[in-house]
Amino acid sequence: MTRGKRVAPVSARPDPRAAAARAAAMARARSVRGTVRGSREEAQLQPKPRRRKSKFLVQLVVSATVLLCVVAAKITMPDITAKYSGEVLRLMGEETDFVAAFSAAGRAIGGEAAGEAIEELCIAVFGSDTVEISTTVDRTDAVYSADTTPERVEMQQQILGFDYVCPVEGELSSSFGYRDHPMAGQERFHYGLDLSAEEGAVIRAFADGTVLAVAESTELGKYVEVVHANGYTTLYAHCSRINASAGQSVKAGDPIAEVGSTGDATGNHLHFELCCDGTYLNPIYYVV
Amino acid sequence: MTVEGQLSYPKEMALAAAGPAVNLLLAVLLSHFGTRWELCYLFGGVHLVLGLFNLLPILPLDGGMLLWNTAAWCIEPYTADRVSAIVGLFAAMLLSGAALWMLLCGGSPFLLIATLGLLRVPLQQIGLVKLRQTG
Repeated sequence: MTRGKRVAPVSARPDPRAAAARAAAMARARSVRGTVRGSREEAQLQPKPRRRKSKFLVQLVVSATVLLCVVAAKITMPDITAKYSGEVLRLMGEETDFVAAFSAAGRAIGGEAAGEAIEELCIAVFGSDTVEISTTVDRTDAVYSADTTPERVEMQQQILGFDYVCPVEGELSSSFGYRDHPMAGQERFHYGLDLSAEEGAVIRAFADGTVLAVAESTELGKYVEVVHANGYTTLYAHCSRINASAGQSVKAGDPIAEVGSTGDATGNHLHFELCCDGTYLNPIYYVV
Repeated sequence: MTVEGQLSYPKEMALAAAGPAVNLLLAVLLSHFGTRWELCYLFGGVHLVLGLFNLLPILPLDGGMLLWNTAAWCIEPYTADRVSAIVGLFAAMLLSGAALWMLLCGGSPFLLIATLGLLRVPLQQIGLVKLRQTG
């Protein structure tokens, strides 16, 4: 066992003191006396401090230049830098949920449901194949969506800030949330309420607002979209007839359409959606 | 560090082990309180990951120092250099491969950057060991 003066690991500390210590140890190991602190060693040590200093200076200058360039870019072109910094941040954080990953690691050794925690950790680190982060929600997909976690859905009741009425007198046949899609036969997220009523039953505007669009699609059938105050919009789909026109301003309770089963519908009902700035809300709180 | 080469091998091993030991201890401790406060799981997990990372057998991490000191104590320092170089290189390569696979699976690129950084010292060690043998 070689004890006594130990030698530092070769790569970790490349500086003159390590070199001197190494030289001293080598000399002792070979039982050579007197040549360790000789002039040859000292001559070798001289150039190193100066080279280290200039290398340090170069590093400092390069770092300062990079910093000044970034600051200048931020000041002169704020929107472009914001775009790039957004890109970088997205790249850094989007693929991995760090909080979930570390929490799962902690849970794994905490003992409570350790197996699930490890699985959670893998999902958080590697991402999951089934979760899709969609940035735009196609209007025709909004009624029934396949296999997407509802990213833009808010389940809690919001205070609307304006008066509203129930759009149609009918029974709740299908509520907001996950359900078995009657047509496709698999579980999908339902972004609105289904209120069944007779064909031709009057559909009233939910609240004061302006008719945004009157259109027809294969899935929604004949539908009307109305925009209200504070960024809220409502959608009334599967109508048999629409009595309003785009741009018309309506008051709460004004008749705008009639119930039907146009589009992807199994019976006469109103498909009613409530949306705020692109986030789907649960209309059950406002429709009695 | 100015007190280089003054500690004996066991003492330096204790020094290298102190960091990860505290990390792991805190990890276990915090995780037990996780049922009361959710954030404890997060911090416990961070401590666990950091502790395990520091225990990797790659210089200049704590794990690498432990390995080097053990080898130097049992055999002698120059062999210890070679052993830690080979083990460190192997471990760093393995980790880089795993990080690359993770990135391709849709994970974060950060682990790959970290493991490529870990390759630096083992590669230097290999270089230096080669030089000393020929020169």
